[in-house]
Amino acid sequence: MQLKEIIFNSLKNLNEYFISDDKIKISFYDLYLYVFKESEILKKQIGENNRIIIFSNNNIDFIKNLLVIIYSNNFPIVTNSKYSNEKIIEIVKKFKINFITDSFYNIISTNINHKNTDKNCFIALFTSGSTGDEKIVVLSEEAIFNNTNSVIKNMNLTNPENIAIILPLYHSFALITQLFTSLITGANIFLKDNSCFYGELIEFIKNKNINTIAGVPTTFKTILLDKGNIFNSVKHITVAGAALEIDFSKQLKEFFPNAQIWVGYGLTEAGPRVTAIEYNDINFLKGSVGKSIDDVEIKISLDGEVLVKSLSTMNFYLDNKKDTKNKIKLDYLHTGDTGYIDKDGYLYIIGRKDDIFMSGGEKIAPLMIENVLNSYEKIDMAIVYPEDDIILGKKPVAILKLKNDNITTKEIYNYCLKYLDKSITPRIFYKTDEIPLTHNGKIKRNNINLCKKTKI
Amino acid sequence: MQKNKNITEIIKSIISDIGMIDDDFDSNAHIKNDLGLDSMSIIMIILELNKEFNIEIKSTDVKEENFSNLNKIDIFIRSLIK
Repeated sequence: MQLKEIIFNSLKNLNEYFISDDKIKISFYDLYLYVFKESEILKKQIGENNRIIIFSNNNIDFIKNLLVIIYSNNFPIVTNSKYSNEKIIEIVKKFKINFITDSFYNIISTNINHKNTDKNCFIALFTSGSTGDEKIVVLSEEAIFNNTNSVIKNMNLTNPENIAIILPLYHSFALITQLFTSLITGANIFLKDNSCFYGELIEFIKNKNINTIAGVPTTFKTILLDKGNIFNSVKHITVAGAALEIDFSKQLKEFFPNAQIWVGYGLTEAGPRVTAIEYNDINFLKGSVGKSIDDVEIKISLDGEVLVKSLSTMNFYLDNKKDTKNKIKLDYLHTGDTGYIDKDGYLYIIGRKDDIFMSGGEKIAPLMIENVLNSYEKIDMAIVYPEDDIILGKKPVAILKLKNDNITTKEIYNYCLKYLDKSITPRIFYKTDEIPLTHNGKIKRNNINLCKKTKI
Repeated sequence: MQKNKNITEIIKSIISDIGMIDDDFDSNAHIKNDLGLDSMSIIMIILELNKEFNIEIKSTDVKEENFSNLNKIDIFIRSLIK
């Protein structure tokens, strides 16, 4: 049976609520009727096998329309609504996108007629490589079916109740591990946009009687900023990203006393979940990200890279054979992360083969930011690297060799915002007289601490 | 605390410095929708306000009704300083 059939067929009671909020109440039956009616209409209007960009929002309209695209046998490419118009035009041309949704989820033609001929394209998500170039990860129906089932089984989610989805749905973790899992298990979901005002998130968890919640470490660090917020209703937490610091883990357990606390390792290209571990496992506080979940095999290459083989691995990067070939070799996905596996099969992540680092759940490619900084007329050369941050874990900062000393932090930051999203733009800039370079003219990143610098 | 400096001016300058925006913004401008500040900026502003005014803003008080614009932040901070 395919995932599309399973989503509605496996539910015991279609009259159960999928979303039940102060404003919206939608049962699985309502959702089923909407999706089947509208997908037939869409099929008649535009046919099948079209590449359609759909902008994600944490609301019911996004979910309904995503399912309509899937059930009409078209190919949704889920993306972040923060992209500028120029960027979208570039993406449409580069990836031969046939249709794009507007803010009301109307489907607008791009006048590109080339249909998608690739097989097994169920859903696609954006990711960025070390240079910051967009790549589109194509996942098959089988991949998502396998990953969601392994997650449900391994992370004890067979009977989840009130699930809060607060991570943006363009993240593979939120979309696959949370949304599709909820659709399969029949859980009642509560959607919340990642609000600036984190007091509202605390109220949301308490008032909605949330049982299951997932977030990146930053989400929880903001919740834990002050004492006194004990969340008794929460039974299941998943923290996406890497292993947690011991103090932070213990604090989480204190604030969520009745919750299983899960951490895991994953990446969009792996479909996404690879490993999982719960707080009570003796290896959790040792910093392991757990053992591989069902149907996933992990091993370490001779040069220390984590390799993954599973039925959930992406098909390919859309229209990008070169990077696909470098990423999947002999059926093993090369993750770019380095680590080791202990004698009992527990995975520990050490770092990256490239310079990418995570900041508050966002992947940061220093080279992409450096390219933007280097394009500014007053900057001769820039180097971007991570500094420790109490909330974000790591934050990007930049050291600049200047052409013109008459420069302010605001000026540089606002220049960067023309090309970069706020979540990845440095807020701290240093100036220096000399950036350490190799004889080939490449930045010596390991020597960055030796660089004499002053804050701008 | 810089006692001689007007409370509103201090808050304004914290928002302007952390949000990387000019300090001539409208006091009714929405901190997220109009000024474009993100969640990380809000956290940094809260931490800075705590330090500057020697107060302790509770996480549960970081809500739209208290922090959506300069005027509201001003009223909220004054209520804590009293």
